[in-house]
Amino acid sequence: MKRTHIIALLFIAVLVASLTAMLGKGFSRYDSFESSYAKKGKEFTVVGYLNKEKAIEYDPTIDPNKFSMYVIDERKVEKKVIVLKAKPRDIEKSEKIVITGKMKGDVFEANDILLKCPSKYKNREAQANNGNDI
Amino acid sequence: MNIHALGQHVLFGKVGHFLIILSFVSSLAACMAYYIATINRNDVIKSHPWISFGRKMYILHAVSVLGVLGSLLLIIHNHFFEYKYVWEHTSMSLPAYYQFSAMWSGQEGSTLLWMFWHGILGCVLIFKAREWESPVLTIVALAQVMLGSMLLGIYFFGYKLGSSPFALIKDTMDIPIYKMNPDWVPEDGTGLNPSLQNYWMVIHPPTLFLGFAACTIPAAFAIASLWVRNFTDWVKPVLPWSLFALMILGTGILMGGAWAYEALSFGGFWAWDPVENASLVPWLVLAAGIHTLMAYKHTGYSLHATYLFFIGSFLLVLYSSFLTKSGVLGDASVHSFTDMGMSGQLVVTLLVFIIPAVYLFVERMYKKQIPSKKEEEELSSREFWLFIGSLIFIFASVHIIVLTSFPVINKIFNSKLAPPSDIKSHYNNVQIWMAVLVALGSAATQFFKYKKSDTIKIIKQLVPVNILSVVLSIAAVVAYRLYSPAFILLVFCGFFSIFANTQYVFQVLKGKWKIAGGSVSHIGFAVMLIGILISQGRQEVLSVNKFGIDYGKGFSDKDIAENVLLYQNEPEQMGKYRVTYLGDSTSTQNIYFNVRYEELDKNGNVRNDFILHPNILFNSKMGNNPVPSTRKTLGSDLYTHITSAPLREDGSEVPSSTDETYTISVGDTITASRCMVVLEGINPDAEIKGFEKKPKDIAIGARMKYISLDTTYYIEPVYLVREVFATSIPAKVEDKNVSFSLVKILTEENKLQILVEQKLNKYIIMKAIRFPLINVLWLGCFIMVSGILMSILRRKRENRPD
Repeated sequence: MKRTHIIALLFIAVLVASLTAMLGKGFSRYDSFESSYAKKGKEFTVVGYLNKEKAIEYDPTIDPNKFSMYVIDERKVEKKVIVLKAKPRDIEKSEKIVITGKMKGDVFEANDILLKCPSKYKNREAQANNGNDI
Repeated sequence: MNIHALGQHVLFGKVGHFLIILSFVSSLAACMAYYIATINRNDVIKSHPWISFGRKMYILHAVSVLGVLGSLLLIIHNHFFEYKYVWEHTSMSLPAYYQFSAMWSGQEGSTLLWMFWHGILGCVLIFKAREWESPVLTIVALAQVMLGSMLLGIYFFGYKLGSSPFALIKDTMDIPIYKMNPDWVPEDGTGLNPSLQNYWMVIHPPTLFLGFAACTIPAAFAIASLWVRNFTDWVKPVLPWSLFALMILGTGILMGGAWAYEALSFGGFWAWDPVENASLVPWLVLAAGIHTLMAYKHTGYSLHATYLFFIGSFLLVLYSSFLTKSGVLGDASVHSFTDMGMSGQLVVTLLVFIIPAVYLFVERMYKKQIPSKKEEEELSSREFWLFIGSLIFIFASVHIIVLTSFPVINKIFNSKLAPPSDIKSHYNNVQIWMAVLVALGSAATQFFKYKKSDTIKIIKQLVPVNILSVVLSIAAVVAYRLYSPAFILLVFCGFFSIFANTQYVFQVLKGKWKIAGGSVSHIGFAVMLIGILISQGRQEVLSVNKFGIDYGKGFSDKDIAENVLLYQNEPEQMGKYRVTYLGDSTSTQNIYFNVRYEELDKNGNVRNDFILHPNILFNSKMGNNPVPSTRKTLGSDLYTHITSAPLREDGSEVPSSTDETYTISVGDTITASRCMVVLEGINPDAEIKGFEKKPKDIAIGARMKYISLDTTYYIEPVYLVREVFATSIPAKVEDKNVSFSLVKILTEENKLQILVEQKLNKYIIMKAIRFPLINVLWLGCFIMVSGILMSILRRKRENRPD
């Protein structure tokens, strides 16, 4: 076997080892509030949607980098979520919310949030319907 | 409402759609003709007519793609909103130059742009590729067939093949209005996504897609060479093409970074977003391929790797378009991707290239037809280190692409992997080591000669630049406080690469700049790395939230509190600046917030001041979009963007005062904005300042304690009854712009009604970041691209037959 081949194999070995190590523990997983409740202190990514009937609390005059809301996850469990960021625009319109963080007590504390707003397509169909001004 | 003569406008779409079909059929014909020409390549009489037919078909194809683009531009320019594409991506108010960005803002348009460049590059190949024309164009035409099928928008045995940009709203959406009025046309479109309304968006997509299209050419040569079993003659023609792809794709990626920096509120020029990653990885793999190609050209080593890297780079381009267009990245990216139901077609496209490429490679390798050397490379040879260097590029690529592919992995294996929450630092922490190794390699490898060299001599040669680099890195580390092992190493390796490559140009190449393209691009790359390290690693968030409300236990992540609230005309100290929000001004589409920065010296005098205008672009249909404003100086950039401002949905301002009535009893607390008020007791015989009471007057005071962040006041609003008239005399807290009145006494319930009137100051929530030495980053990009251009010119000169 040639030296270059050995080195190439070594590279692959390091790559596989480090990636599996990362996958093993370092990374968060998509999951529900319940399982992040069971494993407190571990980081999870929860996919859910905003409970639009409950208020989003955001008072930038007190703290511009924090807001809270109620999120219902894919298993229909609702939790209060505190996000340590400024309230994103259009959160009220979002149809899906992806939050990353930990469960602290009965509150999910997120340090990252991603919004999925309704696809242009659906939104526009509604608009086209409203625009029948003939 | 203006009812168009629908039939007339539909003609444009009919012509456009016809041209799409024509371009598809002609690319299919060209592909087949060139295929037949290739398999009969040893028989000139048989193959020649096929080549000539293939040429005509390919040129017809390229012309019809041009026609499709023209038709699309026409319907956009004429605001024919009955077309879904026009309606979705433009509006009457869109400025003319953004009609180009609108053209490629949809999936169909971007595919078309890609095809357009393939068309042009294919025509150049017809004239330039000589004996490689038929096999190479077979592959390019095949790529066109696959891309073209994504625009067809016709049903094929019940399966919808592609999506046409000329589809009418009427035919694609089920809207009840058409039952009443089949000729209904929307009056206006929904408008171009505001973040795309930026000059970078006019030039970044065409450049990026030219880069993507250019990546097809080295892969086409590689596949062609495996196909016709000619393993050596492809090296010379492929070299300028691969360098061209590297240059253009690199430029396109950097323009995307510049756009993100200027127009998006990412807070930086690189966010490790899946879309950015998906275009970076093919570039890295292509760079690896060019380096192994150089090794092969001079020594005969590393041919296998070169094939893998060139073909891999093209497959990764296809894969990246799969990632961005299939909607699979849904949960992982801020970009909103819509699945247009073409994932199947995208997967088929990938397979159409993977299967034959892998077959050809494995079959030729298995039969030991691909030349490779029996003996080992010397440790002291350049080819050995070129190979190691390219492995580092591949290592970096695999790391990025695996992480970016989590959503795909989850789909296939039904797993639940999520990227780490702080994805940026994760990438930075891993990739910085790759950068260190690449910088080191780009410095030293050139001093090794092909085949064998004198290592001791090289070390001696490099001593002076090493000393110079150590000195300069110490200076840079101290000046920019880069106190971390990775930062220190990267700065050192960056300087080492700059000086070693400069030394190489003068000492080894004897100052012949015409052949110094490689060294110049290495210098550029190293300058860029230093620029990235200092501007990103030492970026300083000035707008650290200073209100310092206790986050409570566990809320110690102060570093993520990057937004600060500024009241109008109330200055805040941020870093060395005193920052004041002066007010705002509204133009047709934007509201500009004027933020003054004043740099103070030790005595508190203003040394330097400037005003930035971060703004918000209104778009009632897609949400308002913040546009950052950046103060650019030679030494650093100061970047400011509005995170939020109290605006209504339509962009109008919220009222500037509030009044609210509270019904409370003694001991209760009112929480108003930024303060708390406790009702401590009732004073039945209140004094009124500057007012003389008559004996029969009744004056009831509400004794209240006002508590704000910094002060406590005792206040007493009074309810005065004189004969039959009752008045409230409010208590004001002047410096807080709030007043309290006792408006009613509810004797039965033993409660008081208090009116709180608050004048709300206008405020903004903003983020300010200082990027030191970001111009070094742009300078590095410029040098690197120039270096690659020099290499292209050199290789083209070498290929010229004389």
